[in-house]
Amino acid sequence: MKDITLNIDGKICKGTEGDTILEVARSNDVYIPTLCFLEGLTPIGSCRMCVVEVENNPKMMTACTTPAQDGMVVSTGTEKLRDYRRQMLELIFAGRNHFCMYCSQSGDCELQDMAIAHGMDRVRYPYLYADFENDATHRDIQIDHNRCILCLRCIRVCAEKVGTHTLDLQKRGWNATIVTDLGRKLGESSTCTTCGACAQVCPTGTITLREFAYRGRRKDCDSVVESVCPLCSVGCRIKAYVRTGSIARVEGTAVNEPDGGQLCQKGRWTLPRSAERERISVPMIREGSHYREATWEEALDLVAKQFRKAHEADSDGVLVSSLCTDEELGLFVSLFKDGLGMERIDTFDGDVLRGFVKGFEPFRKQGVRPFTAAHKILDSDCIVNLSADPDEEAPVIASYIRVGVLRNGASLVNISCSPSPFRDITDVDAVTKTPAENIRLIEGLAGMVEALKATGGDPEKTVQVTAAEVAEKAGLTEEMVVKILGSLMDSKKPVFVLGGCLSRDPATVAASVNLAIACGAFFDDGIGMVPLVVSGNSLGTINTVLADEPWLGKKKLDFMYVYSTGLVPEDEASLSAISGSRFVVVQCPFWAHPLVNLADVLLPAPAWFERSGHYCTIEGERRRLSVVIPPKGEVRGLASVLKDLSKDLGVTPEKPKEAPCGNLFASEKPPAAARMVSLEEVRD
Amino acid sequence: MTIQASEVEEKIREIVKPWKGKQGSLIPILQAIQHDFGYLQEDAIEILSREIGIPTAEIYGVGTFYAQFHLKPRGRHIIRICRGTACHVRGSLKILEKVMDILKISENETTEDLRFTLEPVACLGACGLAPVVMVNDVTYGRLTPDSIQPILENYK
Amino acid sequence: MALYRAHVLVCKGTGCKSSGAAPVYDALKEEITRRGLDKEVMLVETGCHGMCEMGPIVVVYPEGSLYCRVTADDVAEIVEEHLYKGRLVQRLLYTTPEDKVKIPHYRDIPFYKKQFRIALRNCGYINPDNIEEYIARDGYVALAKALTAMDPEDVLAEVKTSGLRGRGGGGFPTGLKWEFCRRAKGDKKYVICNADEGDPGAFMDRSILEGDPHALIEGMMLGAYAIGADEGYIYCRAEYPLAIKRLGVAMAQCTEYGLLGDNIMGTDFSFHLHVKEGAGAFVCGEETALMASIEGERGMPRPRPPFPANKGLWGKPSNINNVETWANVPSIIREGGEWFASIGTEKSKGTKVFALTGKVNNTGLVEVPMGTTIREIVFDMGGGILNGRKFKAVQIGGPSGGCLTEEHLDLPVNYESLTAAGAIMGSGGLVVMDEDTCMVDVARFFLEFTQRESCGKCVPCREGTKQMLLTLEKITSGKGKMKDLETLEELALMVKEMSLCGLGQTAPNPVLTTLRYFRDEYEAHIKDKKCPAKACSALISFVIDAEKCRKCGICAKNCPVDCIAGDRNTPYVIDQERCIKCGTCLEVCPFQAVSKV
Repeated sequence: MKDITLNIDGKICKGTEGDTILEVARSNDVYIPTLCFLEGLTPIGSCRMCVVEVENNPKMMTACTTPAQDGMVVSTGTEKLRDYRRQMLELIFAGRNHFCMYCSQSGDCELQDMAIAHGMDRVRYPYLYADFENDATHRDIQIDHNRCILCLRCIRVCAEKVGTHTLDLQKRGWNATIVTDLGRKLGESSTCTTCGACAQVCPTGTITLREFAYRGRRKDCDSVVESVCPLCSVGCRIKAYVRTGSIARVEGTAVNEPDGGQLCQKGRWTLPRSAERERISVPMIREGSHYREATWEEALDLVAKQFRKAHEADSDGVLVSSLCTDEELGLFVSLFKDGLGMERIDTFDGDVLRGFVKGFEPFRKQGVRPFTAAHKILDSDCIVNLSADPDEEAPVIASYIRVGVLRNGASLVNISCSPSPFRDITDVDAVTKTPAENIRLIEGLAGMVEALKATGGDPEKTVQVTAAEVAEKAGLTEEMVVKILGSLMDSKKPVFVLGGCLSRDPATVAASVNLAIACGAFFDDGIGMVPLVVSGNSLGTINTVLADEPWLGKKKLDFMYVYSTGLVPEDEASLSAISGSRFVVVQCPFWAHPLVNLADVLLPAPAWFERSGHYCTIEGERRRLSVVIPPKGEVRGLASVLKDLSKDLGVTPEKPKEAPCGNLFASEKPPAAARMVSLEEVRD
Repeated sequence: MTIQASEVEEKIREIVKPWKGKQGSLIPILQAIQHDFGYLQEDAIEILSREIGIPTAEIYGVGTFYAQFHLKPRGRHIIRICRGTACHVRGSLKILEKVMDILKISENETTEDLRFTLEPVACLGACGLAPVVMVNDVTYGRLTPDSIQPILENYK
Repeated sequence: MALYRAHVLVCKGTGCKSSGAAPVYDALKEEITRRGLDKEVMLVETGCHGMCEMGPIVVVYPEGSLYCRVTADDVAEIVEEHLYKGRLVQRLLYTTPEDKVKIPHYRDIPFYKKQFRIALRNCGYINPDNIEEYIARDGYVALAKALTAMDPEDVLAEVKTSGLRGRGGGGFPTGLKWEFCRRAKGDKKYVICNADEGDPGAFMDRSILEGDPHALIEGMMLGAYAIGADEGYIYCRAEYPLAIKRLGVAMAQCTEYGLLGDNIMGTDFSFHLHVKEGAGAFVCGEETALMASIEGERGMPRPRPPFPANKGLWGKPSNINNVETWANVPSIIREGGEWFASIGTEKSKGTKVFALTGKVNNTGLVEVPMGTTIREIVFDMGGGILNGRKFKAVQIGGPSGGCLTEEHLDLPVNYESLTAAGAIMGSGGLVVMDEDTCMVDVARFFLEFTQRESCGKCVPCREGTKQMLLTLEKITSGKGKMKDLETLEELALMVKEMSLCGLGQTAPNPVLTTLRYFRDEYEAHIKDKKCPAKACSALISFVIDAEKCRKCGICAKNCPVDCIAGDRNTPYVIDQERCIKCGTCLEVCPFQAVSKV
């Protein structure tokens, strides 16, 4: 890329060929006002605030859309431009309801800021008192069309990032308004996922999240902390706004990140709401059907006593949440595994992870990384959904898939035991009746793709397996198999999204990787697989607390130590195994039912917003969880609690090992070096 | 005339067929749907959305942008009731109310049997004949609430 | 091919059709057959002759006699007198409005005398549904010449030499536009015809589409050859069903003759053409909005750059011209760029078609060399102002144009002169206004139109035109203040400079020119609360002259609001409080006792 130099308002500004005038200006700290522009969304040049004058060009140019050229002389703030901008602001204010004193976003509004910055002290035009609708039908999101300036940011973020394209523009001219689906109210929408991205990008008080109204303006907040969402395996980066010791709102980061700075309905609502949940503030000991408060000393003594006894009888177990940070997981390992030599330590979703680990293992051994960063779905031309339900498991992955299909023109193939969760946009929906048929289909496809590629796609040459045979084995029609093959063979870069349930059978995971290798699904960081492991740091448990073999529920244990973050509900199987244990210690920040009901001793724990550490996410990055609100009162950090406990247990744990992510994301060889493996290797 | 859901689906498939895989097909397809159905009916758009992979909101946006498209069914006959001043003082409101009463619809609505659509207009420019009603292309003047009923009966 | 001694041409353009050309054609067919003339007289359906006001029009060759407002009842007489006896049917000939002279020959009618037809050369002469007739008038000669004897660069050079400029509005040099697209990187390119003629009062494109569709197709093919495109789109408004039908016929015939498709005329040149029907949005006349519409989106304009020449339809280099521009191309290639450049003025070459409408005697389409004065068009060809009233202004260029006054009557019409005067060439709408036309109301009318058609994307156009319209409504209803003029002008200038697309950038033109040339009318509305043209109903009143009133009571009987009182003995009086100014009394009074003041 060629370097270019512009003169903007007399300042020499460096940029790169392909930059817009606005990009050059911003990277050189020259301010150009904008309203409709938002980095990361397609610029539309509609608000006209960023209009600048370019020497030797009689036309006014929008900085957000005009490519910068070497030697351009640009004026951004001539008297005329300032006048025009103020006039346009006056027009906007006269047009619809922009009476700031009645708006929840006053003080947190880009339009208001702009008017102040442009010295708009009056409106010369008559107010039109527009009578548009205030759509309050949605439980969480409100759209007051009277405050809308038609910047279309919400429509663009919904279509380009979230991919649901719930919002669009209806009618035209002065009567144009944002519309939901088929002219419905937002509350009646069948496509809205309540992710709240529209409200996050709205520059005015048009789209607001009721829950956060009057909770604190963004700029009045005491602090804005960048952290990571622990709720699912994507681990989205977040910004948490803190005001008077409470989380006023949580937002995604900048829209221009590879992942679109997204946040799904889980992160948007669960995280701030959790700050209001009832806490376990002091240790508790069960007495009959009640708990009584206890001191840390008493509680830990009791725990240690029961623990020691059980440990001696080899009847103890530890179950920790995969929402723990690397550092926390390290503490557990150094005490229980390394210190006490326990083998019964695991994470709640251990089975899912073990399935993936085992299925990936043969490829790992080849020195390649068998998965890719999740957002690479956006680079793919064919997305294959393998038994995943992304809207449930990891909603941002669902966004990637939708955007991939609707905007990037990727095809979508569903190979699963249940119909595609993306009914309206799925090109081929191959539903097998049993998991056995499912794996036979994947295996068969891998074989056929490999053979077809070897023959250069020439159907005349003998292919050992025929589509009819594969169809027969998978219980599908031959036509269906041919359709899938067509999509896979047409694709230059397919990507495979693996649902958590797929990992029940590691052979299916390995078969899927085989298929990916056969299709040439190679991305720069690894093979085109996106495994939907369960939560924020599921990957981090792989080299730490994850057990080699499942043990939970195999034997009735005398002692069980459970560490939960209380953010996601525990699964039935784990709960039943826990309840079958004789003595249960639950450490959890919240009164998370039903888990807390099973405890004999309850220990407080810091909540996600009081902790710091790192997460290994399926975005292929180690991301930092930061303390959003410092812990108050009796809340003790995990390290200090475990230190006391180990003292009581009479062990001195080693310092935890270095974080395990690095070797997880590393690879010795490029993905294209991967070879398909025999499934027998996995089945052993 | 009510069209069964499966029939709508079949019809939409038929309309979409020649356009499959072609760029820029939305508007011609909507034109064809409006031609066949008389307007862009909701279930038709929903099926279309699935068939061509364009979100319903986008189709709705396009449908409401162009003057040619109607999102509500329109009657076979369009009744335009003049609500200009001259007609008003000569009792056009009474005519309007009478028509609404006969047809059991409000302004800008269409009868269930798709016989009539009622559209009040600012002025038909025939003030000398006030109050005036236009049915399709024919203008009727000097109307009374009683004289409107037989006129409507001419339109089936 | 059989030889005929006479040709009877019946115009079946939209204008003549709506005034009843079909029954005339049928009657002629029947009568000619009945009289056994069908072997010697050929009946031809043609496109528009341009003089729609006089339709249905029938022209008989070889004499070139033009009959006006022909009805089926006249047919027997035409056949009997003209075709049998060789005598002209005097009563159907064109009569000059001022001295009532009957003109026997088409070419002598003042309306046609000064015309110079390039774009319209075949309109009204040939049957548009028959490719043979187009070919007989040197059709596809230019294409053959280009494909066999010229490089694409030669074609481009020829168009550049001709000096042809876009006939759709801006007047951008066509050759240069083609060159940008030719030089743009890309293996796939498109040529597009903008046939979304939406200006109220303009119908030259429709006339060409209906009367000579092959000229457009040939022009587009020449453009595609020069640019390196192999696919084209004609975006035609759905309100022109006849044009769409004729294009379909013409394209089918081209395909049949090997003039569309792969390897045209046995060369490497391939061209595929599609017609896209618009769906009713004026803004789609704007290039980028038109492309968005072809792509199936809301027809909202996109910022430029990127220019369509580099990134147009589906992101590919594309060239858009309007119908009239394309229709000029075959003649340029056939006759040479030099020939074309010899017509017109220094910077504006060739001819321009104007749609002459309003308060003028002869309305219709006229094609004149660039540089013709407004006076020549309005008075010589248009036959002067209707009912001998006084000329006041012409509005040129549709809703984006401006109003010019008497002082501009001798202005030679070309791109530069019109722009300098505050109007634009636009698509060529030319509305003549007389002293009964209120210029403030004209500005309001056009703004109402653009405001309604604004897509709503950019702030200046969406909000600015709305406020301007409100201000104008305020003034025409007598509630204006002098300060409003200042606000109006300020807004107009801002909207003109800051709007995203051509619609917004030109929407203030009618306001700005009327403010410039007719400020006194605005002031009269504001200061005196009077409308000098007596057109704004809020500012006029109807009065009955007691002297002239014969007390017949007809006015009172017809008054829709019963506000006129009087009887056999007392002259009638209008109650101004209750009068709704519908003007009925003025119309019905047999004694001209009612007047507007």
